[in-house]
Amino acid sequence: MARAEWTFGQRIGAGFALAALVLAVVAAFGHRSSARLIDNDRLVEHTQSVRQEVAGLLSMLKDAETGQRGYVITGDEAFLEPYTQAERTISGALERLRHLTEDDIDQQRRMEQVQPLIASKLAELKRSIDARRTGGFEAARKIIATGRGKELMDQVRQILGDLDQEEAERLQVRFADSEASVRAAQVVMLWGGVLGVLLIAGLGFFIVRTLSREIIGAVGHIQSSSSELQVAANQQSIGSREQVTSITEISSTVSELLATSRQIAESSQRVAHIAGETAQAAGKGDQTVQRASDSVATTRRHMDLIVGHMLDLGKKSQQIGGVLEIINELSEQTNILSINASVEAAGAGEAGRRFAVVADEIRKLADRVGGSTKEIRTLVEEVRAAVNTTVMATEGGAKAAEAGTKQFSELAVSFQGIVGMVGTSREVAREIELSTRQQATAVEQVTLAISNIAKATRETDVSAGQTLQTAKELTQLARVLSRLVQVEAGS
Amino acid sequence: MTAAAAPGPTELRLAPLRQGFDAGFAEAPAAEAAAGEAVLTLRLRGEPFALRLSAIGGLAKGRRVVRLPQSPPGFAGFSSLRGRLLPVWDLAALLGLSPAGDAPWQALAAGPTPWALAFERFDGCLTLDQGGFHPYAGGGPAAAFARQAAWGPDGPRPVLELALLQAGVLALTSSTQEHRSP
Repeated sequence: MARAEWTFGQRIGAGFALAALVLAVVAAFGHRSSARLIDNDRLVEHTQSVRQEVAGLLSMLKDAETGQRGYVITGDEAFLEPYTQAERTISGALERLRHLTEDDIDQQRRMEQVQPLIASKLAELKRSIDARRTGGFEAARKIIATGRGKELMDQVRQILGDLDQEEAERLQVRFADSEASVRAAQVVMLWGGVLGVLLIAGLGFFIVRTLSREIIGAVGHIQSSSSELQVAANQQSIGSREQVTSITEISSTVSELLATSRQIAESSQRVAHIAGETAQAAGKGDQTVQRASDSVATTRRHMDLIVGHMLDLGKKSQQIGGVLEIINELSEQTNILSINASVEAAGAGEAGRRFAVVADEIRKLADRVGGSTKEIRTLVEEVRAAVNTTVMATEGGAKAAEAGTKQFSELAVSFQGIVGMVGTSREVAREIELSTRQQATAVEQVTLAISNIAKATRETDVSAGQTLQTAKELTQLARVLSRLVQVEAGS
Repeated sequence: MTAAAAPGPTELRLAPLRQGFDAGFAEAPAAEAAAGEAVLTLRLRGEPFALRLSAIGGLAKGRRVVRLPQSPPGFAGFSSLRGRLLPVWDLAALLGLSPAGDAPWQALAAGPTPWALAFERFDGCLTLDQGGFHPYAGGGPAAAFARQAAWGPDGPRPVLELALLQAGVLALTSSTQEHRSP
């Protein structure tokens, strides 16, 4: 985890952990030094005990020898009291000394050497004392004069002296160790304390500086966010009010929609009823169309007859035209003949004058016939044109009738389709009615939902007001925190 | 049976003809022909012209005209009319109009010289008194062959003089002969 991602608690904890580690190290060194010092003290005390026991043992031996000399010299039993005391306590002293030196092989070896010597010394003292009691001074003096007692005493002094010297040397070493431990503990505690203070101070400065910067930045963010939150809360409040207005309008619209849905359901029911009646009417219409189709077919047959008659009339007109051509030719020939007759009459002179009159009348009659023939031709042409027009119109009518028959067939099919579709429409209208009723139910649910939304929107408005108040308080708090942190940072 | 229908325009036209024709048998024969001069009315390329009936020796239609190779311009060919072989000239060509493709009518010229004129359309015969003739002052193709114009129901039409036409034919034939002779 990067240091920048550490939380404040982690950073402060890390700083305190580092300081605690330094203190722990210092304490460990102190504890170790104290332990070593205590151990040295205990060893010094032990050494002192050993030396005291050695000195005591040697003093007991001296007391025993002193009592032995006093009794030997005086024969007074009272002088045996030190001897008796030493004889009674010396074994305990040896035992304690053995116990104190049981962890040291060399000292144990010395104890093994000195213990029989002490026993021999005590035995030599007892023999001299016993000799004094029984043989008198001389007997005791002879035993003492052997020098055995002195020799044993010298060996004991030598061995105990070595033992004491060994302990004295150890004491010197342990004193040096104790002093070294004390010095080391002082150094560690001094420099550890200094280092710990410096480290804690540095960490505190670093943490305070870092946290101040980040807190200042965070406070800035909080201030800007609070401002944005205020703006957002204001907008949310305005939006909530507008939303309430819109929801009110939607609610009224949905109410109208509900009423409309009910009207649609009723209309769909009526449409289904009308569709049923329409299906019946369409069935009747289909029969009517069938009858009309039959009538059109009859009309078409009549038109075919008319066309046939008109074609016959056209042929007759052509025949009339042919006859007219003959008449025209005849009138033309008559005209030519009359003209030629006039010419011949003119060439006949006076005798042909009356013939010329007749020829002139014949010519006029031929002219009239020719003119009438032209008119008849014109009329026949008009009749033929009318016949052609009538034939074409009749054929067009026949085609129209045929098309009408076809259209009536298609109309019949359409009516059948209409009957089917009207049935489908009736079913669809029923489905629409059912769907519209379901829609009305859904619209009622929507109305309820809209009411809930309106309530939630009002609550949102209230919440926006609370958010606005909270944002203001947060802004104020951020300012206070910023002032505190900046004062801390400045200080 | 319903009542008789009103007479149509054809019936109205036929009635006076029928009455005139029937009355003609009851009238006395005319003493002489009506005074005036008869002219044949015809058309060339749609334009009206006239020929004096007195200058015509006969009228025929549909007579076969045999064309000859290397004929002079305006010469339609030879035809047989009233037992005589005679040359037929295209009247339109003589007047300087474009030659007619079909000229079924032939007018035989009166006089000792047998020749005929072919033309496209014959309108009829018109008898006019002297007041119906006026001097011809118009131009055009008839200017060289007409001296008078006959005023009929459809307006004036130049009266072509056969003598002038014959002179034109002679001039045309002589120039053709001169043209052919080296």
